[in-house]
Amino acid sequence: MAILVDKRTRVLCQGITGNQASFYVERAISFGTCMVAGVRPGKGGIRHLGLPVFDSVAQARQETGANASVIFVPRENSAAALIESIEAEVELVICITEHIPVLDMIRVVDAMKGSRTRLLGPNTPGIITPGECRIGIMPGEIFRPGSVGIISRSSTLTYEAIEQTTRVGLGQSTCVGIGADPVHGLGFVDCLELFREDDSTEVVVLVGEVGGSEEEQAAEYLRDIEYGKPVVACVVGENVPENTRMGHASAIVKKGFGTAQEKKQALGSAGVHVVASPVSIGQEIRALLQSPGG
Amino acid sequence: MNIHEHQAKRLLRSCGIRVPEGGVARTPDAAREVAIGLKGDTWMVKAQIHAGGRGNGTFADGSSGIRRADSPDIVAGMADSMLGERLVTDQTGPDGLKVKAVYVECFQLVDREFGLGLVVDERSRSIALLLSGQGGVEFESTASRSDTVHRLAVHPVHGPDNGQIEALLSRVDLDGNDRRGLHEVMTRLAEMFRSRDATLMEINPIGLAGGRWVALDAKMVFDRNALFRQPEILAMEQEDRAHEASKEASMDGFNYREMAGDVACISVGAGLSMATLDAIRHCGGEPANFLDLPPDSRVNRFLSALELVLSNRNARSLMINVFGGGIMRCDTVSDAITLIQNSKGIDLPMAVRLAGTNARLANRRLKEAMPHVFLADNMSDAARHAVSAAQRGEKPRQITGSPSIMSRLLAALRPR
Repeated sequence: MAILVDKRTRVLCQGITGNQASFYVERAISFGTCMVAGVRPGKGGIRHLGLPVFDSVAQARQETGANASVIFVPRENSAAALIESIEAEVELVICITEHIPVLDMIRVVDAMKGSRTRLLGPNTPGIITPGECRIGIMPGEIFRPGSVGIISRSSTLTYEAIEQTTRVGLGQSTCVGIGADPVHGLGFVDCLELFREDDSTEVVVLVGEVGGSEEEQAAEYLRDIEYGKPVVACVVGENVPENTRMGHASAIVKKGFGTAQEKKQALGSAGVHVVASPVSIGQEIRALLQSPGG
Repeated sequence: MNIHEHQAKRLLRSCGIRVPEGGVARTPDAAREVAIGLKGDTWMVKAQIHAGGRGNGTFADGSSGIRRADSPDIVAGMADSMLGERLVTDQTGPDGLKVKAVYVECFQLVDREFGLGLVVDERSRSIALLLSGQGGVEFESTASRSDTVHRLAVHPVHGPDNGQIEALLSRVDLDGNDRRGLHEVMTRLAEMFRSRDATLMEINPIGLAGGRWVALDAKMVFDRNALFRQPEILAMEQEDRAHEASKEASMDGFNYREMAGDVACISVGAGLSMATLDAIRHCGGEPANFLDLPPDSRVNRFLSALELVLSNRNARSLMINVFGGGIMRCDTVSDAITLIQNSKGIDLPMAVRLAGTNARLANRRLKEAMPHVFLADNMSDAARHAVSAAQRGEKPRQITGSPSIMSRLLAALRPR
């Protein structure tokens, strides 16, 4: 078991003929991901990387039974690509593209109302269930199948958490990058809910950062529910100056709102094991699993 | 991307929202001329900086960023005391922002003031239209949590409908023509917000003067990611840049910001870069900069980044923290480091932490080429080493970087 993706996930790629897309799709195939199709309007009928290419998502879905889509379409056309896969009722859409205009994402989120599509991203490194399915741009060498579920806003810190959990010999059930843009699809709370139901996940790691209110929402959720599994969290950015956007569009503290301190406190008071640095994630989990209380 | 008040008012005027007559000045004499050219006998002199709170902000001499003058000579005097000085407001941080231009406009007497704004609300993933029964109320950070401000969610495609706006207006004390007039302003502002890819638009305060609505202040922020389809907004930034260069812009495709400490650092990815700052602080050190390289960086960009941080006089040590993944390979980093070392030498003690794709190869190359470099197993070790090296560090360094490199970097100052 895992969340969102496993070996039965059939993946299509929108924008497959691009350089980046080609590079990562090839790696996904060699990893064992069930890639079934590509979509590139105007190039329907060709084959690329051994996969059939279609003009539209609906067509690709009909012909191949794809139920997930990874989007590498340039930002100018990302919203259209997202809405196309929502309308084609793709179950899981993973949008790797970054720098998409925020109003486009608000339109996409609006188009998702009442649909069955789940969206990861944009600006996400993707998702991986080690040994089963890898979608996106995460490095392949650091994973190992296991029992830790990882949720992160930042790509590089996802890798950091993965390395930590691999080093202590636990491995990962599923690793999810929710993306670093202010308006995005699945959030911390959605993923926490999914991991809660997942038997293969024993511990959940949540990697947050300054800005926005996702960590506070996660804290609210965890406070009000008997979660049943330990949650370890770190929040980076306690030393970034106020009103300064630190690389990520969403990582900004405004007038004391969205600080790392505030988030850590909220998580801590909800029973989350908050570590000072991503480097301590591994040790913290090991200590937790060894302690009699769990 | 911020624009100045005078630019925002130009946009308001272009969509039929009334603003007081005014003009920009970059010298005291020009300010006097603007005042003489405007009708009336009272003027407002307003410091143009990319931050709000100017009315309550202060200069070193204690005066405010927005002042009233009743003669052109006083206008010139006030401009003189503002231009080139730093204005500190609750949004600028303690150092304030340098005033490069003032906006001189006719003083507008009003009967009542309201506050009007639109903002991208991240929590509800929508656009919020905000209305306050009094002017000057803080909007930007209250989008999600204030109850003194009335709000509604604007449809991203169709905009707010008339019923919604009426419902919002019913919460403030307004009727008849005044209410219809504000309704019209709200509709136009919401339309402009969506068509121009704004993330924030505020008319705060908006005044009612003899039955007419006048925008007394205007603040607008636009989505940098949408500038590719907003040539007119992009031009406003360039028009601004012709007069002032910001060191806070992203250079050559990376985010760089100078900080007060002495531990220089380079990292890839915003999350890891923030964690790097935290790690330096946890070890009792102070970062000399923030530098976040995008994950698709090649050797050239690493070279630029290295030259940039090495040119910082305050730096006493250098920490490099990279987790290779995807296109980003660690040997790119080690190649850049050894190239700089071989061409001009690196005069700072270094702690390097490389993990992920090709880390083993990169560490081996570094160890061979530069045996004195500390190769860390994780970022805490790297930070500890860099911080203690900085604390042992001697006198301020001589900067060896050639001026041509620095000027090339500064020439690369451009919006992403």
